[in-house]
Amino acid sequence: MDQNNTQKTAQEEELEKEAEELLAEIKKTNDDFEKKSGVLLEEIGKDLNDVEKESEEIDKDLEATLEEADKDIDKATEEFMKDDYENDEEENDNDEE
Amino acid sequence: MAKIDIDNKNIFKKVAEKAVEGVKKVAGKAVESLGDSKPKIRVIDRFRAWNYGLLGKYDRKSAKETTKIKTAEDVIKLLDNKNAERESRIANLRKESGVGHEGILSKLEEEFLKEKQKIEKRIEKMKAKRDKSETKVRYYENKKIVYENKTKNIVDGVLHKVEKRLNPHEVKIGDLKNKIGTLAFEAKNFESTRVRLGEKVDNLKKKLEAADFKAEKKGIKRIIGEIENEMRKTEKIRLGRLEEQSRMENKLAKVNKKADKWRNIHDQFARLTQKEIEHKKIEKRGLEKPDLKNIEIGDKKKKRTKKEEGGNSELSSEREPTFSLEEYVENWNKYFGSQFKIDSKLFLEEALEKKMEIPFLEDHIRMIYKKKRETDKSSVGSFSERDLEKSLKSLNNYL
Repeated sequence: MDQNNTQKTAQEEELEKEAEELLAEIKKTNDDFEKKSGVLLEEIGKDLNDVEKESEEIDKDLEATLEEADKDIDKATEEFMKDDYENDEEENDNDEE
Repeated sequence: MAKIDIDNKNIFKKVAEKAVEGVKKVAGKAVESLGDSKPKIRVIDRFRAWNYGLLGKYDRKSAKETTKIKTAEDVIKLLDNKNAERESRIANLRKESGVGHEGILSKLEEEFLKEKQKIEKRIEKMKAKRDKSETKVRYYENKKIVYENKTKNIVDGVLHKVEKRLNPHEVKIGDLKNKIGTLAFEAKNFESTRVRLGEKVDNLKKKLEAADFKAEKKGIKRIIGEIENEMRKTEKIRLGRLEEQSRMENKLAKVNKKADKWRNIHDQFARLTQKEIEHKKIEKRGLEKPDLKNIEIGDKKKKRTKKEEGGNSELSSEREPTFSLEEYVENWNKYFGSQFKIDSKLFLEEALEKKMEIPFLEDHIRMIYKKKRETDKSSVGSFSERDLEKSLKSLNNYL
């Protein structure tokens, strides 16, 4: 009977030890992941904010560049067209010759 | 030469305005279907429409003049042959006719000479027409080059700006993608560990159920309870991180979409510069002097008329000299580089090699000056627009 009880106690202790080790392992896994992913998330969040801000600035800046290009092409075309009809005028003169 | 009246001038102006309106309408329609990126696409479409529309117009004009050149050359050849043929006929007649026909022969020769003079006059007229057409073709081609270079410079400016802003941004996006990738990798590992630990927990529970110490297992039950709590926490962490990851991926996707829009615009602009425009090469005739006065336009025409009024007519004696842009810039730097230096790298290699008349070269210098004044004032310093015009005029005299 005593031997049986001793066996049971040993089994219980063994299982208890196993359960505690498992609990520690799970806790450690959780902690490690939480810490590691937390650092990463913080870093990503910060970078993401910077990139989002930069993206807005790029949009504004490049929109302005395109508007400028739009004006430049307008001007170039105006000059082109101006010469164009002055030349037509000259052509017309020739036709009348 | 007949003068054009104001009404006709207005008609030409209206036609020109209508052409621009037409181009805008076409570009506008293309824009409607493109939603967000309206202004950018509009610029690209306008570049495209103008490149094809306006340059095409000069192509057609050029082709028309080329046909005139060909016709004039054919007529000149025909008239030359006619003269040669009649000359040989007279020579034969003189050789073959006997004594006593001198009177008729000299009459025939007289008629031939008159006819020859008439034909020569016609030849001269045809040559003048041909030369005028050739000068026109050169003018159209130069005009195309100047317009093409202007648009290319604008496009290059846009490309440069987009690249300057987008490239470092792309690096950051790439870096973020890597970091999110690392997070995903860590989450995946965590998930595998969670599954493995879950199996361990199940095994432990099985062992517990099979154990003999029913009354004594209270202590273990408490630990199992803690394990289950911890496993729930594991799942909560996992789901939380997945949610965060997905939120960040979405944010990054939005940023990337914006960058993508600029990438597309960059590529569309880049394709514009790849379009090769065909240029006809009409070499100037060395000895013949074509009539230039009819093809001068705009300010140039006014300037020349003033010169003529002052009794210094360049038109009657010489044509506008041509230089490559590279030579011109070299000379500019030689004389005026200390005040305003121009880096030839600012121009396309293709443009640098092309020979152009001075007014077109001057346009390039003006364009660079304007660009520099707007973007990099320090490179212009105190060199004013007036200084620029004076220097251009002086350079014209040096050359």
